[in-house]
Amino acid sequence: MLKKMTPGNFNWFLHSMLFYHTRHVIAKQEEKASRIINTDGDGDGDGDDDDDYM
Amino acid sequence: MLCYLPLPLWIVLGFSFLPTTAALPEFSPFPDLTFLSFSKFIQTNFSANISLSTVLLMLFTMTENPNLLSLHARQQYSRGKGENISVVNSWIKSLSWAVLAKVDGSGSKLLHESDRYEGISEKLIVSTVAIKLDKLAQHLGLIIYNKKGHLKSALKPISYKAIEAVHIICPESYQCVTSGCGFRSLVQITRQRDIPLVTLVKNNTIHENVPVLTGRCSNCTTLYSADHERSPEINEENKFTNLYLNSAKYIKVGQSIWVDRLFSNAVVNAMYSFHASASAYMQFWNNSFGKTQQHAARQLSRRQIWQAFVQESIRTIAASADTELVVGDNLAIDEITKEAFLVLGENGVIRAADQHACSECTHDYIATTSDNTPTAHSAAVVGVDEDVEQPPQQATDSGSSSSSGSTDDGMDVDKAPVKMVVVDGTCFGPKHCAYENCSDDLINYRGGVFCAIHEQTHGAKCHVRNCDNEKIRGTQACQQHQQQWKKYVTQHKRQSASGFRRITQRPAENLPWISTNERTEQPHDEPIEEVEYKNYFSAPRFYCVETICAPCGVVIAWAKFPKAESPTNILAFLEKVFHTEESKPDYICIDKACQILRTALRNGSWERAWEKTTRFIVDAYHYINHREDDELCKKWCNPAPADGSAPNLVVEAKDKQGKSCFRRAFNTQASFDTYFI
Repeated sequence: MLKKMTPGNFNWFLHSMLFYHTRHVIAKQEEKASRIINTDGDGDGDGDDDDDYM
Repeated sequence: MLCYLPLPLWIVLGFSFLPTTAALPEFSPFPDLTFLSFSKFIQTNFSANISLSTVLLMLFTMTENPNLLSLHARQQYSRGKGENISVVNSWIKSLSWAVLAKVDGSGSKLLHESDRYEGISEKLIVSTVAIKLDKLAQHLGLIIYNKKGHLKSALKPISYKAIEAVHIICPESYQCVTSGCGFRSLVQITRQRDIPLVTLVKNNTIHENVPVLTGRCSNCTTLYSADHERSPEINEENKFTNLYLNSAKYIKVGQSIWVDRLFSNAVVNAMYSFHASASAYMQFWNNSFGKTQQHAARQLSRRQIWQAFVQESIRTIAASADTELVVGDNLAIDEITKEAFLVLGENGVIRAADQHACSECTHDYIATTSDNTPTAHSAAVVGVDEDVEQPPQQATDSGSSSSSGSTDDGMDVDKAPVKMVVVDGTCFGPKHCAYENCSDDLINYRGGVFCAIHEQTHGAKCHVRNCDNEKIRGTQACQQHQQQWKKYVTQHKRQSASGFRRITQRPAENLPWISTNERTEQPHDEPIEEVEYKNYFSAPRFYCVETICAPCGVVIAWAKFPKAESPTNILAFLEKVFHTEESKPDYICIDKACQILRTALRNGSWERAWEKTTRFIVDAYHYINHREDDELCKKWCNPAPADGSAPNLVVEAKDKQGKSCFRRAFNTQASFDTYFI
């Protein structure tokens, strides 16, 4: 697909794809980080529950 | 024989050849009753305080579930022995339970005042609402039995055509936003008979004959459309600029086709995730959505898909840069992409990656001492050479290391954390001007070989190098070089191309008609000889696209290299992207880092730009193969020295058995290559 593009279209298409790729990678990292925070939070919650049961 | 067929049979045959839409489901019309009758029914059966939204919810719940209503109705009649009649059966009770769960569990918003009393059980509420829903279904005519109790047929899906909202495409701004206009109101400028009626694709549904309205400020004469604003240029008569609105709800993608942002976003995401071309997406959309809707203009074209991609990507990238793209009036789509790259492309630097830092691409600084300067003998690599001693551990406190200010092996250690980037290239690219040392865009991409300047100076001349004769009409060579031109034409025929493709796809296949051409392979870490073409019969392609990535995969910048992935080109690219000392990474991993280091030392850029801040390292594969015979590579480019000379490239970790081990601190395989494969 890229081989058939004019230089103007090629530049813009590639730049857009790299931009979207970067945004996806960053979004995934943020999602991963928030999941870790939530898991930690849940872990604390579980701990509290355990304390209650005890 | 056919001519003897009777006329009615001819008519039947004629109709059978008409295009049909067999896959389209049949629909029943929307319930046809007066509002007064419906209103009276609601007042009689439901709470006096019932809200409009709850009434509409119930109405659409009934029209959305014809299958359930058929099942319910069938159980209300007995057709055989042992078949029990159930008026309030579990089908309608399930629907009642779902409605109550969505509206109000207690039923206080639904039940009529006469049906409510203190202590009413949940079961009774469900049954009461179920009875009301059954009555509602009968009132709406959503029944499968007639008054005599005879079965008609199962209910068909209900068509919403009759209650579709009227769509109008109009400007988003309700007043003029040009400074100095004092927020004037906008005037609708088009006469009623001239208002364009277009096709709108909204939520993947085609709406036809949608009016497009344009507003104008009577003071500054700016035209406000739904997706752009057109304003006159200051001090320029009859010249206008178009500002693409990032917040546009609908985008114009064709002369009379508009799409919503859901559509344009889907195009971009398909191109990103599936590597789909505009043509492939066109086929997908037309097959999935276009053909299933009965409309005259149900097919989208490749150009409209490409337009949707360009318009959406422009708005997304402009929004991330906190700006809006302004271009000249009446530009062709190819001109718009050029302008967009000039304004928003930032020379290949990806704005989304600006100031990016994460745990994968940065680590806390570990101080080095003079004892662990790399030596010619420290060639072992962590994670590769298993029999080496583990690297000595350093203090990991970045604060203490910074305050100590020890600048071992010339590096400025007064900054933390440690960053690395990975540089890699992929061999592909568009065509460029064939003239020597010119990589400008072709003026004609379909068969042209020169840029605008060289087309003017050399377009009419013979395309053989250093020949100034006029070319013969219909060919690209003069009389003297016709032989070369004919040879070129023969070699570049379609049949020859398929032959070459076979050779490249099956290199091991040794067939008698395939010429055996012994070639020496070019190792990636050796200087590349520049190929000089003898003629300009075809336009060459850019040699490669080089990317700078963070180890986590975030792309920092990209560039096209016209002729070679040479160390000089890479150094120039790196200096352009990391132009300040603060922006420079601590480590740059490239598969030909030793070559780059050698070139940088030779041309002075090492001392000028890199020595204080950065080290060039190679990837592990390169290092294992190259450390034996290249002293500079062995000593300075080790990606993870096992002797502790570069503690920032090694981290302590646990293996599968839970034992302490050392691993490379950064992923050196990060690149965007996989996208192009």
